[in-house]
Amino acid sequence: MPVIENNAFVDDVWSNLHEGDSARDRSMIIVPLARLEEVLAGWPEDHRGLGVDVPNDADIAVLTPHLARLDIVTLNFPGFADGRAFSQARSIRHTEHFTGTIRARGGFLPDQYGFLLQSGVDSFEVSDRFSLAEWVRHAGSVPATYQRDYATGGLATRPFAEAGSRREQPSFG
Amino acid sequence: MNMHVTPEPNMYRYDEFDRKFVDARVEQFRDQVARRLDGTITEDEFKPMRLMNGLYHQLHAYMLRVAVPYGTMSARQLNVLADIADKYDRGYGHWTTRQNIQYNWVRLEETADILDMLAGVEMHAIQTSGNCIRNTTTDPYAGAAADELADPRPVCELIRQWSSLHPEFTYLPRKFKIAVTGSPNDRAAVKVHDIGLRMHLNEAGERGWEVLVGGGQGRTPMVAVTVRDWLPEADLLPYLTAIMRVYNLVGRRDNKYKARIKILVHEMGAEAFSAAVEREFAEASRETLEVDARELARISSYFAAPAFETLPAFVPEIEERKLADRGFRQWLTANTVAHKVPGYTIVNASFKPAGGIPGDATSEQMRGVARLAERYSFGEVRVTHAQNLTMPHVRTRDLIEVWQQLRDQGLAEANIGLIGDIISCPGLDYCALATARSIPVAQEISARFADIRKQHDVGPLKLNISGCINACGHHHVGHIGILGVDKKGKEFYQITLGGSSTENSSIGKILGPGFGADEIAGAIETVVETYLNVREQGEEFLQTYRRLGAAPFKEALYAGN
Amino acid sequence: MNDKTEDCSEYVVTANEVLSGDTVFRNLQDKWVRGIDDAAVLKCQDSGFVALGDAQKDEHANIVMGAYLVEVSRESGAIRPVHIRERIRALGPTVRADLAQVAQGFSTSEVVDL
Repeated sequence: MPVIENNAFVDDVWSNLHEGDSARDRSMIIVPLARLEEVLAGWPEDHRGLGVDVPNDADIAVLTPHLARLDIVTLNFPGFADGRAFSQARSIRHTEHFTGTIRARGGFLPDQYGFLLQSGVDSFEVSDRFSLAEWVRHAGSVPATYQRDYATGGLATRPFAEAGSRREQPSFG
Repeated sequence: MNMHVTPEPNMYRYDEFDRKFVDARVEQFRDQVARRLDGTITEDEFKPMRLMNGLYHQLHAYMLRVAVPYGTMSARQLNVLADIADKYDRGYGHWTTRQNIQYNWVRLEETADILDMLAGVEMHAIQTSGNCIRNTTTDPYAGAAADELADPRPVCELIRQWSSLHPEFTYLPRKFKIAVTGSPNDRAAVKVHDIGLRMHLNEAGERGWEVLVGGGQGRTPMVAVTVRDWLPEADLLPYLTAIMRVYNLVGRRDNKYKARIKILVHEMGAEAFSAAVEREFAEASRETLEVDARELARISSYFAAPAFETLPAFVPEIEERKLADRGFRQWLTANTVAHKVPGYTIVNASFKPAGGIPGDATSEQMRGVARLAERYSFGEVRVTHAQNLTMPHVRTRDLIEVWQQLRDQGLAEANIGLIGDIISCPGLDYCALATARSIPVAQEISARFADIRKQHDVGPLKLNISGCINACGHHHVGHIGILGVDKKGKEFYQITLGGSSTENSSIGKILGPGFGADEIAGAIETVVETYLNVREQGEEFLQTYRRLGAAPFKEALYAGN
Repeated sequence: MNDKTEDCSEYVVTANEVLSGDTVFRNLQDKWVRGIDDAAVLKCQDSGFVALGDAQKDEHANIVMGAYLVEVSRESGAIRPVHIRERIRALGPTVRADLAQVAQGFSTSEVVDL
């Protein structure tokens, strides 16, 4: 499936480790969360190229001890209305300070692209239903945000107010 | 030389940033409509998008719910709401229990134009529906009530901005409602909201907030539990963020009817839920605290008290009129409320005429109240959760004029807080989810109690009607609640007694078998007559019910059946 | 009348127009019209489903949404839904006769006395 990063299609360097597959001698693989500890046990400490696929009902606290050894976390949208992955992304990126790639998968829509970026997602596995231009233009369809600490590049936030002061009230019309 | 200047009330005003934000949201919506119409997105995908901008599709037509943030608006804005009713709807709107207004007959193709018109007066329909954080509600008398600790609206505005298009919390398990009170006498129903915030002052005079979580009505009514007795004001947004994150991550999504936060709090247990929130809160970023404090200070400066005059509290001509004119006296008793500044009074305009549709307002009535507010109330109007309007700052000496002018517009029915002041959802006449009609029941009951003397004799009595189990008419917290259901293709109405949404909140209990459409009004009369027979001196309906329970009412309604 | 069985009632096809949101009914010419009295009445559910399938093409074309079958009966020549919800949808709101969906409007008792 096409992958979007930095508002462009990129080659997907990752492959998924499927049920029963062995992780031995492999690299650039994304393993299911349920197998993470098992794979990590046989994974050399200095070896990179490992990612994890996290179901959207998983408590990301279980990831915390392992994040430093991971390069990518994939989060899932069973449908666009199920917004758990927004909070998972925010927690991993902001609370756990994960610096690797966070990839969204599943049924999210272009209209959610901006919110995903703001929540910390920086990689998008998408279908070919929508064009790249359609995705990208939604990064800033509302080019302003009230959430300063979620703001990504290009989004306006309110200029800092002088404490205790306010401008003359503008008048209508 | 004195030019007429429309007074602009002291309320939050958009700066360039807010304006840019709302304008962009309108354009985004316009684009979403275009993609719906050209087939780029399906109705299933478009539906949540339109709902997040207040656009429903109801029984007959699209319905647009416009936000009146925490119920505060200017006369200028009210005039534009009237213009929208005339230009894009059928000349009327409907005040909602979330202090908003909804229009019943809008067209999809014109909705973005309506939103443009709203943006022109710093209004919008953002998050008036959908599984996101809805319009924060508060005391309709905020900034005016004699009993409040401080004006809660700056905090409401802070929450409005924080919750608007929040990137993390816009696809929640279910809708999310926050209510805030700055008064110990809760007129904002904080105990039956997803989150309720109640202001307290400490010994140093600093403001802190009691945080209640997990209240709500709907199918499973619950009274909220307090998870924090005292939250320093500076911690409000990080704490709300922690609650929202826990809810977004673990709130149920497998069953729509179990997806509200009250079910999560109930299933986890209040202690475990609270602990999860505290863990999240402990890890919350502190970097925004100083910014929040500055923002709150900036917002607060907009809500400065208006330029009140120094006036005598006692106005002889009002007292004389009170003695001489029973109609005025009744209106004064029921429809006005003590103001914190001597010589001023809070005035309610009743949108509950006897036999009328509760909460419906014609464009002419909207303009009429706007004119009065401009002239008598610093240009300020409130929408109440009981579906009326309030003019918060009227000089006591102007009350006779205001009363007369309200009467001319049919808005002076002296029934606020009485049995004629019925809260009613639109019911099956408009709503796609309803199972029975609500409005005709409200009309018949208010017609039967049209005698204002009778209503005053009965005293404070909240009668709330919902046309289905979703409880938009707040029947669970009515002293008398009526729930309309469909029983084998017929409308059928259950009565609950003993509900309350105040600081002593309780959920009403079902009295017994329900009544047909042609019986329900009579049954309510019987309940009221029973109360009149058994009450003690000075006892209000709810007190009588709490003292005696359901027995005398059951006896009166069902004995012999 | 005695050969009329339960699964052979009369139906009309209804939907809502996407642009206006208005309640519309399918007529004999397969056009969408605003008054239920101009709707094509289909005998038995089977023919109803055939007509509904046809109507759903207009859903895919984004002209209407939510097409479905409504059971109706004839009352003094007028076509009237059997269930109260559909009755109010086709004719109501009952509380604003001036805004009623059909020209002649209808009385509250017409709804209640089903």
